[in-house]
Amino acid sequence: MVIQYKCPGCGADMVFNSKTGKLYCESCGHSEEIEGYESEDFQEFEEHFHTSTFGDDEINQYQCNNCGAILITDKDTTATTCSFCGSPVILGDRLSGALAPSKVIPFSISKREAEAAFKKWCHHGLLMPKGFKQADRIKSLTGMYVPFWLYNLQGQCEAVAHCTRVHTYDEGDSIVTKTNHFDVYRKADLRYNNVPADASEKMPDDLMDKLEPFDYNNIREFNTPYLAGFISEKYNYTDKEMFPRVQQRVMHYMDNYILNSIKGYSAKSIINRDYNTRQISAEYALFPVWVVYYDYGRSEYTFAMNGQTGKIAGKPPISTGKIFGSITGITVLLFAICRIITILMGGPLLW
Amino acid sequence: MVINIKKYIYIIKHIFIFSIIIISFMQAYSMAAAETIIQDDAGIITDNEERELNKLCNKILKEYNTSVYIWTDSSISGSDEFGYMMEQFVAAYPSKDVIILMTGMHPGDRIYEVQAYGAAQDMINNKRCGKILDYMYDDMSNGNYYSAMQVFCNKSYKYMGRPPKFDSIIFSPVFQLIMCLIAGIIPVTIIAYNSGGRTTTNSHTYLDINNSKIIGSFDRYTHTTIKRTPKPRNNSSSGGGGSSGGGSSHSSGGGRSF
Repeated sequence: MVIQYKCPGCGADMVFNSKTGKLYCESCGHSEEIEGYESEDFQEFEEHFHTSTFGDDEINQYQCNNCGAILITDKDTTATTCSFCGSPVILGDRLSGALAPSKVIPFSISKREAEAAFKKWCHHGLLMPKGFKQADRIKSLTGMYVPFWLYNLQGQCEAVAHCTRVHTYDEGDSIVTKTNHFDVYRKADLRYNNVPADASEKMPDDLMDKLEPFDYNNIREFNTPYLAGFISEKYNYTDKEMFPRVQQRVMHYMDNYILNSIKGYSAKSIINRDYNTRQISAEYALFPVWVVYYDYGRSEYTFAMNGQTGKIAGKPPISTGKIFGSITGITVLLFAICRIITILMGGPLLW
Repeated sequence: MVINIKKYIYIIKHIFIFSIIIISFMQAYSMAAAETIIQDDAGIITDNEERELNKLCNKILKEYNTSVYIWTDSSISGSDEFGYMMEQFVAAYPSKDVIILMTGMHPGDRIYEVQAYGAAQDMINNKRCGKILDYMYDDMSNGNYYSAMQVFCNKSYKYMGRPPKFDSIIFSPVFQLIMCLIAGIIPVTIIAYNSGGRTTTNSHTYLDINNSKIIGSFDRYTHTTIKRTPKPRNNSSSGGGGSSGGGSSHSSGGGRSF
């Protein structure tokens, strides 16, 4: 089942506009509210129009309603553009049933803004090579909805920390260091809401983690028009499969919570912990990410930009010359300042 | 009127001549006051070496208007008498600002010592006297007296140009360079490390504060450990010295036997 949004005025394809948050016709300028759109009844479509000709792990075939060309898509793609006529298409059956997202954060940064922000970021990169900083070799800039699981978690934790208080005083010819040792017990009931976990196989987890935080104030109930004009993927891992990763992450949070609740000690470290994390719920959500492919030298670099906040993640090339140059520059400058201060105090130029 | 002018000229002329006499007398006195004296009674350096040392000492004399005395003797024994004789030696000359190295070559009681008098003791204090003695020690014990005396002259020259507070490691160029290098490496490493974007979420980002709380706690004292460390001693460096009771005030390295 292929969904395409046609302009009621001129019949052209409509796309989601990140500025207005509406469907927009680039031909005649007509806008349509997304809130008013009825959600498609995918279940019904799934039963009647499922055109899958391959297995789940293989490439499925869909036909573009505009030009009739076969849409060759990746098995995870849920929204894309027709490679023949460029029309935005949404693959409804891949967004139905268990694969139906419940939430979406729409793009608020347009492609043009994303490109400008990326160029600015490159330009400000202190240690990037000069050629890279010009940012003139952006190979592609793709707006992609990345699948995430949003967990609501209940954590119950009990921990014992070893804490010390140190007093130092003089006694005759000795300096006495007196250390009082304590066993500190804390038990806490903690609640974490909407902890995200990237459920896509393609996106590196650490890259996605760095794009956080997303602003949940702009989170919407999922509706297909949000995907019009963007690439979208379905999840590769279920919420159960992703849970251990989230659990691991929340464990660090709990450690911090416990340690922050222990006050008045010189040193503290948790020696024993019993954490129990329970999943209250998990929602399937799509988050907006601009993916930038950039050619530099003989390599291709991938960067991700938070499509809502503009935060950028991805490892840029670092110029060795600039690293050594910066270190030398700072060292020489500071050393000159040190010597000037020494001379002003009446000391020698060197030794 | 004419008489008055002549009278003024007469007075001015006399004041001028009188001033010149005073100034030249003062200069002559100060020239005489600072001097280099190398008196090798023990005969441990050659005439040529003496001339070379003289040059080094004159450098100190010229730049810092400080006398340098180098005296060797083979008759004095006993450190008390040695110290006393040094003071007497210095007192025998009119110079007030003096650095003196004395070497006693009495068989079985060989000793050498550095002292500084007058303004020189502000620059060459007890600690520095001791340091100079330490620097000289190897040459002295190996019988390289000339070489040791060169060390004495060079170190004295160096110390005269630098107040003692600059002996502290924080003024050392090597130390400063290392610190500056570290101060350069740290921010650049942080920038390089964070060039791929930083994680800006923390343990509070997703915490639901209203539904999170500590529900049980206790802090139990278990035991106490006590560690004693001896206080670091000041003035632990070699050389004691200080102002002597009877003689004039001076700094001293305390002497070394060799």
